Amino acid sequence: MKRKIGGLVFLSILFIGQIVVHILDETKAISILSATKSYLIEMLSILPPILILVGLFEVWVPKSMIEKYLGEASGWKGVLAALFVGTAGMGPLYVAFPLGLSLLRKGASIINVSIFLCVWAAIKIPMILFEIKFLGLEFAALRLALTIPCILAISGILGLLVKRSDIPEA
Amino acid sequence: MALLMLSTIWTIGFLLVFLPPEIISRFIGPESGIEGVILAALFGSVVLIQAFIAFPIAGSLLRQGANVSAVAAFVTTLVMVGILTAPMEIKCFGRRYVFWRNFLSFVFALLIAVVMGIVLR
Repeated sequence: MKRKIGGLVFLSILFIGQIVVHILDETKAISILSATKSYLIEMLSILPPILILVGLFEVWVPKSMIEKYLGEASGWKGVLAALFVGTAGMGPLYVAFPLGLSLLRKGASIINVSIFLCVWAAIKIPMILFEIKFLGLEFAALRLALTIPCILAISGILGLLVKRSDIPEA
Repeated sequence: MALLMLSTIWTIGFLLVFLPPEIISRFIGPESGIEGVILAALFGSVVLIQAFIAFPIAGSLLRQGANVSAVAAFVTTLVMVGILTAPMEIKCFGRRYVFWRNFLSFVFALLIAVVMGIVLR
């Protein structure tokens, strides 16, 4: 309940901010609204299919399978599986949060879920092609080559720092 | 959750107008040192821009002679660190996890940036 009130207060601040900007500079106010609209459309078009996917996943994929391939005892195979699943990601990172959570609930380890999330965020084939085009092959390849070990390190450290009991939803 | 998303997206709208990506070019010139790298990393952590807008901007900065480390820091934190989306992430994974994931991603992004600055000098 307290959280809900906080959210409403924040929304009211945004609303007041919008009105203030509108009075001071109408063009800016309109660009805020049009940017908000385009991001809202993006989110609304991506989230429903993802939520359906999460729903199907929860029902159809057996817990034992996720435990076996991504669980605590999955070792290097689990790491590779998480890397592979993460690259299949589409769209922005926030889309991956509910998916990652449902993997965790099904018995995937914190390390592997972290790899999944970070890879989803940083390594997507279309994004890499885009980076090569605009920043050059050398820049993109080096950044990718450095990012992979960093993701493994981040995920390994997260596995040590965060316990399952620290994640209320898991 | 719906309330949270609306607030997040509306905040992004404000940020895009008052802190446009082009603004980053002011503080990551060729002579910008470590401050430029850190500012670029902070900027990338806060804003949320799609790759198809961010990469062309980063590319033009690089061609204008911007600091390679700063551009790398910006691109890396942009994809890996999400301060605006943290409330949504916390709903799924809790505060402790989200703090450490973002903090570690930020630190490693700086590391990647520094190494790239040395290699691609």
